[in-house]
Parts: sequence; C-alpha cells; structure tokens
Amino acid sequence: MFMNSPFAILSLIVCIPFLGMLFTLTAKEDAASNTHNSFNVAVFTIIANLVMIWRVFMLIDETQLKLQLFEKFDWLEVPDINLVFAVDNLSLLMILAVHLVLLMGIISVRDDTTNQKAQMIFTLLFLSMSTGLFVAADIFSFFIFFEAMLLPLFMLVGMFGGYKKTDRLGGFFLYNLLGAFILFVAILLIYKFYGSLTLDRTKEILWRQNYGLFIWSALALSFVFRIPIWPFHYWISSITSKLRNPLVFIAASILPLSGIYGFARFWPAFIPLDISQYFIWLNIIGTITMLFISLIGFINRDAQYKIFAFVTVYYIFYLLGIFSQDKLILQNIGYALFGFVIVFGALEIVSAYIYRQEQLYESNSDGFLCRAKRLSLLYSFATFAAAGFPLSAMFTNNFLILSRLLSTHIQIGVFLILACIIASAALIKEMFRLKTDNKECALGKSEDMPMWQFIFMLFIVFMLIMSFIRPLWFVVSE
Amino acid sequence: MVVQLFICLIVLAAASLLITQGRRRRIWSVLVLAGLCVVSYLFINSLNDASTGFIYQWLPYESLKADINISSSLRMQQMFVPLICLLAALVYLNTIYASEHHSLHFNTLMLLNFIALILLASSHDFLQLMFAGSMFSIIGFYMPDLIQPKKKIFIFNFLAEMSVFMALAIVYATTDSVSLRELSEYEKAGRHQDLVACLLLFAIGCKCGLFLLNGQYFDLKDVLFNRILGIMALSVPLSGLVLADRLYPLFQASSIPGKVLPWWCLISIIVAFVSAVINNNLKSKVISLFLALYAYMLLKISGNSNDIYFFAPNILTVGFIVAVVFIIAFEAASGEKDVGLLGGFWRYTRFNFVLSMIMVASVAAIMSNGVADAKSVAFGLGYLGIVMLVLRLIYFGSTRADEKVVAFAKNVGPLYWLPMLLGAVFLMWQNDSWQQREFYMLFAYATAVFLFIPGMWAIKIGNLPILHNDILSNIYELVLINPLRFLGRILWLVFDVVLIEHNIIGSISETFSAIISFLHSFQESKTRNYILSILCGMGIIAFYLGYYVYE
Amino acid sequence: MLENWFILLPEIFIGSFFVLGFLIGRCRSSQTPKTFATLAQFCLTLVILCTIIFYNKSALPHFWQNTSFTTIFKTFAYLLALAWFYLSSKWFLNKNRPSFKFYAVCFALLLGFDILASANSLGSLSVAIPFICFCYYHLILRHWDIERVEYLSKAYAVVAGFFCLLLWVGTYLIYQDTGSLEYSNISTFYLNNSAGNMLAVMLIIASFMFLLGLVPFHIGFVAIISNAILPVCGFITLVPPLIYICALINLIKGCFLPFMDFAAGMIMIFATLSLVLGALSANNEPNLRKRFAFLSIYCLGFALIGMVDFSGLAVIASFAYTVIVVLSLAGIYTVFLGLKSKGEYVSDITDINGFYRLRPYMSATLLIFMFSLIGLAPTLGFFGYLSIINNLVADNAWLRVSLLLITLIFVASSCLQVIRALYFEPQTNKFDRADKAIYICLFINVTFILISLINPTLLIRDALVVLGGLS
Repeated sequence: MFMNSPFAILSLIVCIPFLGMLFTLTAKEDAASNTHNSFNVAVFTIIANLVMIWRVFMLIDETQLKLQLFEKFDWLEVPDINLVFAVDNLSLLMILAVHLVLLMGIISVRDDTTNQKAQMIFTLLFLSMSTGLFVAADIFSFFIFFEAMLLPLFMLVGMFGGYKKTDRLGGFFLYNLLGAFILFVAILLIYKFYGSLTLDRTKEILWRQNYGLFIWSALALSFVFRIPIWPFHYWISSITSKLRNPLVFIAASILPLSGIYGFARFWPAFIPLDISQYFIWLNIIGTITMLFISLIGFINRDAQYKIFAFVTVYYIFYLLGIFSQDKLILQNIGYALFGFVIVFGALEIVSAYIYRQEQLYESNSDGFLCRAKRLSLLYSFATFAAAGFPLSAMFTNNFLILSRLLSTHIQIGVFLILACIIASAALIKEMFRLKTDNKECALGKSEDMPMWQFIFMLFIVFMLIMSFIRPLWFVVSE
Repeated sequence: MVVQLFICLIVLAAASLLITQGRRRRIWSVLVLAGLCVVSYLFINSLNDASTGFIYQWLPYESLKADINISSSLRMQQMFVPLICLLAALVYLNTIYASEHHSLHFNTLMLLNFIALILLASSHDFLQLMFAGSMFSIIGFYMPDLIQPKKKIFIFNFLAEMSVFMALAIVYATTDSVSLRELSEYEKAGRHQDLVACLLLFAIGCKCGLFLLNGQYFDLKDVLFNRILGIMALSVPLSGLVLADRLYPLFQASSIPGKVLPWWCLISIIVAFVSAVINNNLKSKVISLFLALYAYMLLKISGNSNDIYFFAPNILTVGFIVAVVFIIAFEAASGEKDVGLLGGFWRYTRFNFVLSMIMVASVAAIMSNGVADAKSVAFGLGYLGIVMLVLRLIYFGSTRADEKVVAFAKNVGPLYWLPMLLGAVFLMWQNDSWQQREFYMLFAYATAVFLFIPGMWAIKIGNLPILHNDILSNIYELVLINPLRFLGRILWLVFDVVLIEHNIIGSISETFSAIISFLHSFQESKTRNYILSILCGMGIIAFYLGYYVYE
Repeated sequence: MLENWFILLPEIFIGSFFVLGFLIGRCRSSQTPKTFATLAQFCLTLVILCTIIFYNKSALPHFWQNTSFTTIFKTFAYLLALAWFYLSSKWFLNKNRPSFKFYAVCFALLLGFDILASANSLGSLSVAIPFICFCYYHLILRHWDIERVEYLSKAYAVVAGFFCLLLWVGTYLIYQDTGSLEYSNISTFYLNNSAGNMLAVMLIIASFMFLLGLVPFHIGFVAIISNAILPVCGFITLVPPLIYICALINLIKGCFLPFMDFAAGMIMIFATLSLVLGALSANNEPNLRKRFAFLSIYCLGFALIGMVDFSGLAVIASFAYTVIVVLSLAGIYTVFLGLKSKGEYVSDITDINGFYRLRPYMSATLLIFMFSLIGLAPTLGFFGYLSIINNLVADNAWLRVSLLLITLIFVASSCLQVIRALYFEPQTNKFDRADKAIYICLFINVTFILISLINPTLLIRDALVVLGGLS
C-alpha cells in the first residue's frame, strides 16, 4: 500500500457513502409514525462527505493540472492489479457536483415514503460508486467504478423511476453493460502492453503499435455509449426522459457525465493526421444530435423531456469542447460541468415538485408560479441559468468552448448555438406556461415549496452564483 | 466616485428589496428616494475628482484575462449625471403613481438597471459586457407586470444576448483576447467580420426596437405607464445603445453595417413616427416615440458620432418629459388610453394643459441645443410635431370622452406639477433657452402644429381593424416556429420511432425471441430431443475427427 | 498395510454413513430428516478432515492418486456438499419426507466423485463414471411423485448407459493399443496419432461432456433440474462441477498429453456450444431452476473455454471462476429454499413478482449473487471473469474473448428478467416464513463474497501455489 494523502482521505470519501448505505440498511422505517430515519441517515452521510471533500480541496494545489494525493492499495497478484486513487481539480469538482445534486434529489423525495429506505440505499451506493469513478487514478480502478455504478442506477430506475415499460429497462442496462465490456477489453489490452497505467499516463498509448487503434477506438466507443449522441441516444433518451422521480432522473443524468469524464481523462497526446481528419464527423454528428434533440424537446409538451433535451444538448456541447483539446477549456471544464450539473438538478427539482402537486391535486399547473412565489423565483433562476445567462460557471466556459468551435468550423458553431438556443427556448416556453395565469389551476400559495426546502435551494443558488464569480471561494489556503 | 455610486446603489437596491411590502411601503419608498438623492448629490459634487476606480482580478489566465472593472472616464460620469436624475425622477414617479402596487419592487429593478448600466458602460472586456447586458435582460423580464409583455421582452432579449455571445465568441476566437481594447486588432485581421456585424446588428435591433424587431415593446401597451417609462428610458433599449457604442469597432470591420444600419434606423424612425400618429393607444404612442428616439440615436452612432455620452441623456430626457406629459393626461382622464375617446380636455384640465405646454417648451429647450445638422432638425421637427398632434387630440376639439371620464377629469396634484415645473424651469435655464433663437422657433413650430394641424384623420386610421392584429407575431409563428415544430416531429418519428425503435431494436428483439423459442422447443425432455442431441453430438465428434485426420 | 487403511479413511467414512444410517434406521424409533442430515454432516466433516490430512497419500495409486491438486478440488466440493446437506434438511423437514435415501445416494455420489477426481487410471474412470450415473438415476427417483420422474429416469438411464458404453469402448480401444489403463503408461506409449487413438480419446471425452452436462448432451441435466426435488437440483448443480473439471484436467494432462491440442479443440467446440445455447436458452425461461440450469451450463462452458490451453495460468483462472460461480449458485439455491408459498416451493418466475417487498434481504442477496454471475464489478464474479478474460487477451484469443463477452450480455439479460420480477413487478404471491438457517447461510455466503472482494487472492491463495505448478 502506498499513500501520500493523509488518512487515506480519498478512500474515505468513497467509503463514507457506502458506510452510510450500511447504516441505512439498519435504520428502522415506520410508515405509521412518519419517521424519516433512512432519509436522515442519507442526508447526514452526504453532508459528512461534503465536509471531507471540502477538506480535500484544501489539500490539493488547484493550479496544478496533474493528479495529486495518491493512494494505492494492492488488490490482485495475478494479474497484478491495484486500486489507485488520486484527484485533481476536475475530479473534485465532479465529486462535489454529484454530491450536491444528489443531496438536492434526496431532499426533494423526502415526503415520498414508499420504499424510502431502498431508495436511500441505492442512492448512497450510486454515490459511492460515482465518487470512486472520479477518484480512480488508474485504468482498472476506473473501470471497476465505471461498471459498478450501473447496478444501483438500474435498481433506482426500475424501482423508483415510475417507468412503466419495465421490459425496456433491461435493454437500457444491457446497452450500458455492453459499453462497459468494450472498455474492459480495451483496458485489458492496455494492461497487456503497458501494465497498469495511471490515467495521466494513458496518453502514452501509441496509435500504430500494440493494437493502439483498437484501444483508442474501444475507449472512445465505450464512453460514447454513455453519452446520448446519435445514434447512441435512443436508450438513454427513451428511459431518462420518462423518469418522474427527480432523484432517479438526476442519477440517470449523471451517467453521461461518466462518459464525458472518461474522454477528459483518456485522451491521446498525439492523434495521427489520417485519423484526426475524421474528428470533423464527430463534431457534425454531435451538432446534428444537439439540433435533433433540441427540436424534439421544443415540440414535446412534457416538461421532463425539455429538461432531458437541455441536459443532452449541453453534454454534447461539453463533449465537443473536450474534443477541441484546448488547454484553457480542459483547465476549466470542471467548473462548467459543476455549474451544469447543479443547474439541471435545480431545474429537475422544481419541475418535479410542480408535477407532484399536479398529481396530488389533479390539476394542471398553468399559472401555478403566479401564486407560488418561492417556486417562481427558483424556477426562473434555474431557467435563466440553463438558458445561458451569466448566473453560473457555465457561462464563461460556454463562451470559451463556442469560440474554439467557431474558430475551427463556423458552420458547426452556428448550428451548435442554434441547438442551444432551441433547447433553452423549450425551457423558457415551459416557464412561461407556468407563469401565465389560469383560473382553472387549483394550485395556489399553500402548495408552494416549503420554506426549509426553499432555504436549501437558495444555498444552491448561492453556490451557482459563486461558481461564476469565484468557483473555489470555499477553499481556505492553509 | 463611480465605485461609491455603484456600492450605494447596491445597498439601496438591497434595502428596497428587503423592506417588507407592508402598509408603509410608500414611506419606505420615499426613504429610498431620499437616499438616492443624497447619493446623486454626492456623486455630482465629486465629478471632477480624479477617482481611481475599482478593478477586481477575476480570470487570470493568459488567454482569458478578465477583470471586473468599475472605473469610468469623466465623460462617462457626465453621462451618468442626467441619467441618475432621470432615475430619481422615475423612483419618485413610482412612489406617487397610484396604480403601482409594487413600487418597492419596481424601484429595486430600476436601481438594478442603473447598476447594470454602470457595469456595462465601464466594461473593459467581453465578459463584463455580456454580464451587464444579461442583467438588463433579466431585470427587463421582471419589469412588466403582465405575462405577455414579459414573454416577448425576454425572448427578444434572449435572442439578442445569444447573438452578442456568438459574435464575441467569434471575435475572441480570432484575437484570443476578451479585452475591448483589442477590437481594433479584429478590425484589421479578424475572420467572419460580416457575420459578426450581422449578429450585432440583430442584437442591437432587438434591444433598441428597430423596425421588425420591436414587437416586444409594442406589447407593453397594457403595462402600467410608469413601468413603460422605466423600461423605455433606463432599461433594455438604453443597454442596446451603450452596447452599440462599445462594440462599434466591430461594425466598422464590416461594410454591411455602414450600408444597412443608417437605412434601417431611418425606416425605423419613419415607422415609429407613423405608428405614433396612427396608433390610438396613448401608451403605444409613448413607446413609438421612444423607439423613434432610439433609432435616431443609433443613426447618430452609425454616423460615427462618438458623443453618445452627451446626446443620449438629453434625448432620453426629452422622451421622459413627453411621456410624463402623456401620463398626466392619462391620469386626468381616469386611465383612458384611447385618444379617440378623449378630446377637448383643455376645458376640464386647464392647468394640465398649461403644464403640458411648459413641458413642451422644456423639450424645445433641450432640442434647440441638439440641432446641429439637417437630420437632427428633421427629426426634431417630426418628433415635436407628433407630440403636439397628440396633445391636440387630447386637449383640443370636441369632447369624445365618456361622461364619467369627463366628470372625474381633474388636474394633477402638486406631487406632479411641482417637480414638473421645477424641472422644466431648470432645463430651460440650464440650456440658456432664452438666448437661443432655435428655442423660440421650435416652440413656435410646436404651437403652430398644435393649433393648425388637424388630427382626426389619425384617429380614423387608428381604428382600422388591421392595425389591431399582431401581424408580425403571426408571421414569426408561421415562418419560424411552425416549421421548427414540424421538423422536430418529423425527425422524432423518422429516426427514433421508425428507424431505431421499430426497425433496429424491434427486429433484433423479435429475432432473438424467435431463436430462443426455437431453442426451448428442442430442449424439452422428449425422446425426439434426446435422440437429436446425441446424434448432433456424435455428428460433431465425427466431423471434428474427420477434419483433424484430414488435416 | 495399516497405513493404507488410514489413507483410505475418507472413503471409509463415506462408507460408514451407509452403515450408521442403516443402523439408525433400524434401531432408532424416532427419526427425523434432521437425524440423517446430522449424521451426513458428521461423516462428511470427517471425510474432509481426512482428505486434507492425507492430501498426498494414496492407498491404491494405480487406481486413484491423491495429490494437492485433487485435494483442493475435493475439499471445495465437500465443503459445498456439507453446506448443502445442512440446507437440504430444511427442505425435508418442511416437506416432512424421509431423507435417508437422499443422503445415502449423495454419499454414494461423493464416493464416486472421490474416485473420479483422483482417478489415475482409465479403469477407475470406467467404474466411477457409470457409478455416478447410477447414483444420478437414483437421485432422480427421490421424488415422491414417481410418475412425474418415471420417464425422465428411464430416459436418463438409457442416455447415461449409452455414454458409459462409449466410455468403455474408448477405454477398450486404448487398452488394446497400450496394454495398460494407467495414465502414466498410456501417455508414455500413446505416441501415434492414429485415427483409432483419436476416436478413443473422443469417446472418453464425450462421456465427460455428458457428465458435465455440456451442449448438446445437456437435455438430461436440464430435465433433472426442472423435475427433481430441490435438494437433488442443488446437489448436482453445486458439487460435481469442480470434481469433473479436476478429473478432466487430470485426464488430459496425465493421460492424453500428446493429444492435448486435439482434445482442446473438441472441448472448445462443446464449450462454445454450451456458452451460446446456455446463454440464449436462459432467456425467457419461465422455470427458475431451469433458467439457472442453463446458466450453470453457460458458466461451465465459460470455465472450459478459459481452461482449454491447460496451462497453469489458465487452470488457475478457471478454478477461481468455477469456485466463484459455484458460490454464487449456492447462494441462489439457498434463496430457492426460501421461496416457499403455502408450503410449496415456487419455481415459476411469475410467482416471485414483487418478492422484495416481503423479503428485502433475501432479494438483496439474490441480486448480489446474480450480479456476481454476470461478473459485474465490484462483485466477486468480476474477479472470476477478469482472470479468464485477461488470460485470453494475453494469448490474443480474440474470437474467444468476443464470444464470451457477447454471450455474457445474454446472461445478463436473463438475470435481469429475474431481477425485474423480483423488484419491479407488483407482488402477486404471499410467501411463508423462511428458516433462520437460510438467512444464516445467505449471510455467510454474502459476507464471504464481499470480504473476498477486498482481497480476492485470499480465496485461492493455496490453490495458486498448487495450480501454478501445473505446466
């Protein structure tokens, strides 16, 4: 075992949600007395982990682009595989974003007491595996968590997503599993020729030797499987867009983040010219997908699909940003993704809340926001931030990415921004539907968001705004 | 001193937001106004101070160096002076305006607008510029009190922001710098200059409400009058103007703005004037007149005038005064906004009438300082003429108003006329009107139009049904929105449903189901299956043996 | 001489069960199924101890020879049998049926396995395999509803008889050529690649394929699983695979070394067929036991494909994989013992709809075992798959790797259908209370799986040393 981080802190932040899950297993749930033991344990676990993450931020040097705080644990002798953890700014920001957004999701389902224990268990397990993915510093560790996050996600989607066609869920899982298998083969090949590489050294994998072309293609394919880019968008779009549970939707929307993160980590130092010329096709396909999904989101009346379309469009946008391999973009993509994850989480929370009120009171929600002031404020903020206004770190990085894409291909850039506009317009349209007063709407002031939840969301709003002004404001230098 | 002004405005805005909306809201509003007056006074007094400004280092990267800059030149500070007076006047108007139930919130928005203006005017880089522009758009969303105008304002501004965003992204891609000082580099060697220019033209057209892009403003006709004034005078359109000024080098990089913008502004002025004449809605007239003013200011900018800091406050003051004149008429007529249903009000509100004429004199005083060339003379005459035409329709001629309206018609109280008079006198004194021949000529012209040009034809045209259709919105819906919807539906059906779901996934699923059913039937515990399996196995063995021996 | 008797203690203790069981049956008035279960566990514990103590001693080395290699496999198999005997007693108690015959036949089988695993001569093989088939026949007949299993038992007898015949023919052919039945002698003399020799090899291996239940000779095995009583299903799923693999390795490396490539090719064909058909057939199968029977066929095929080179690393990988699979299947069958509704053990997939709402912990363990079967990280199954696939990648066996991964998708699909029924469908049945023993066993199994994940090498440390010596 080797460590240069104090107290195996990275392992701790992976284990804490897992331990929380075990505690939740033992928590007593009594529907009659309306206790929320499992909910309380889950929230406490995440908050505890947030404190740890905050501490880790203070330990690393955020100006350094390389991985820091290495921890290495021997695992297998034959083959020689170890678990290696390390972090940098990007991974920590992803961990923080995932924690915050899942915390939001958990808080939003507090009153949903049906099987709450199971829901918390799988959420914490998912959180643990996602955290492991972002702290993984070598290829095998990365793969283990890349695959492991599928299990809790599948259970969350199947049990709590409210998805009616359960036979489709199998397809969703198998599709992602196939991608994981492709990654598995690639990693075994890397291991065969290069040994157990750390992620920052994967750039050394050559193209023309040792099945390099296959390795890079397999890596790219496995990550693309997770990202809803045409023609791989079908399973993710057909499942995710129909999820009604906000926590499950958020978890499902974190899945493409693993693909984006994979691309950010696994990128060759050099791409042969005859291969790099095909990248234009990636850009074209990505842009077409963005346009396609944004248009469908625009015509679809379902608010959930609009949010899904927004999420998809921006995931592909950031993917194209990573493809540009601009140093400044790569340095700051973490902030953009952080802001983006929180924004779509906030959007989903408020939207799901409105949907729940609709179901509860069997009323349409046209004009609900005219009477529900707290909800109106949050919804407006989330929509503005999603539309690209400078309310979060997304703004600056969107500017960077767009400028780089415009500099390489102006036509692609134009269609890209058009897709972003259409996706944002869909959200704006939905906001206006909720703000156009309608006498038939039975929802009123009393159905507004509870104050405690509102205060928590204000904190999230604060985090978002600070991510724009000074993202690492909470890091106190030692 | 701008920094201090900025901070004080933030504090005032926060205060006016936090103070509860209770019974004493107007008293709190007065306190905010008092605070604003104090701040303004201090600011005006410190004008000649050499202020250091404030720079916060925000993004430190080599190729993305951006600071938050709140420093300004003396010229800019001089621009702020009349604008801050306008702001104070607006806050005052909000306080005394009877229909404004949320005066505190609206005051907050006005203060925030000014904060955004300071940020916009003192920006040295793209990011601050876009941030300030976006602030205007977001604040603009909250300013109307009705949802329909909110929608339009937001959508137009959103599109404008996206255009600016994209244009500046292209510029950044070329110059690798976000500094506004580097725009000249782009002028020399930038790519896609025409595209950038077109995008910015579109953005400014949306914000300033040029012809074809002014739908957002005309929808304000049902909003409260004070809010209309707030939006038109110190909000989004002003931001468009400042944006045009700050990004003018980008216009110069392409030949298109030079050809398009002057004509576009001219057409916009003509359309705005015509609209102001034939539209019977008093509020729409105010809006049209403001749009004409902005188009005129843009025309001046396109003519390479870099004196926006001087003429913009003056022109906006003109617009403000005209709007207030119409407000008092509106209030006197118990909120009747259709000029076709007014008329002869000089009999019932003589004081209002006199007050209006004094305000017109102050307008003439301001204009007399600005008439430098034939274009400005033509514009001034046209503008003033339309104002007088409208006043004639309100105050002259036979009474067309309802009996109740006539019965309740009254002159405005001292809360209105006192500051108006003082303001008019101040403006006339400040502009040295008494010594200007142009002032007397303009006032005489205005009086002549009022007395001798009939206006009933305008009312008749204004009553035409076609003018009450939102033609442009229908066109946008037809040309833009419906095709998008159609395209989206087709794409979804063709690719997702037919190609992927039915063909690919459906066929794979059915194929494997058929194979599995087939396999199940051959694996049941039946004699036939046992024999078949043994034969199959033996066959494999024999075949393999034969193959191996052969090899 | 005395020493040999001590060395034969495992076999003696196996035999002692029959004697003691008979005596108890005759003399003791009150007998419950637990009586014989206890006796079986007692005897088997002694068998395990003696096997370990005399791990490299052989009383009859010409017939069967104990080595570290065979001891590893036998110990694992006996431990599984021990656990299964304990759990089976719960079934007999619940059904209130006599258990002596079941345990007696199982012990007979264990004797057969003992000889088979350590077989050092084709003669031992020719005795052990038919004996095992004979025991299987009697296991089938343990069902109380004779009519239900009558046809099956007869069919099995005929088919098994046929393969025993093939075995004897092959043995005879070899004996004719070499004049000996001992492995070492055969491999020394057996140098020419004549068609006759190859045929003999194929016939013997074919009988192994039947024994393993590989496609296309699997119908009998699947039929037994779907029709026999649950204790029988569990026993023949969990205990034999390790023994058969051990015997196969012994046979190939000890006897058919010159024909290794030839044998490997043939094994590969059957393993591939098992892989594909096992994975496909497990889908849409309404009977749970049959479904997992197909999956166990698949897993065996997987293990064999990984082992087909018969190198040290390949054998280690396959061994690790088989142990993990068997552990997972043991857990699954333990859960089956808990699937009791109105006194009847359910076996249809629709019967377990919404099971997790009543038995969340049992459902969770089933979930873990199934994901371990799929090889999903971070379950222990991942380690098994990793070992095999890593070896194949190292050998550039791309076709096999692709085949394994593609068929794994179908296996995952099959498991997902079960998970869907367990978790996503609304509850349709009420279930009886499960015995505490089931929970205890599940807990031990899951803990073992999860803890082994932290350091998987612990699981097979000794095996690595032993199996790594194979070249």
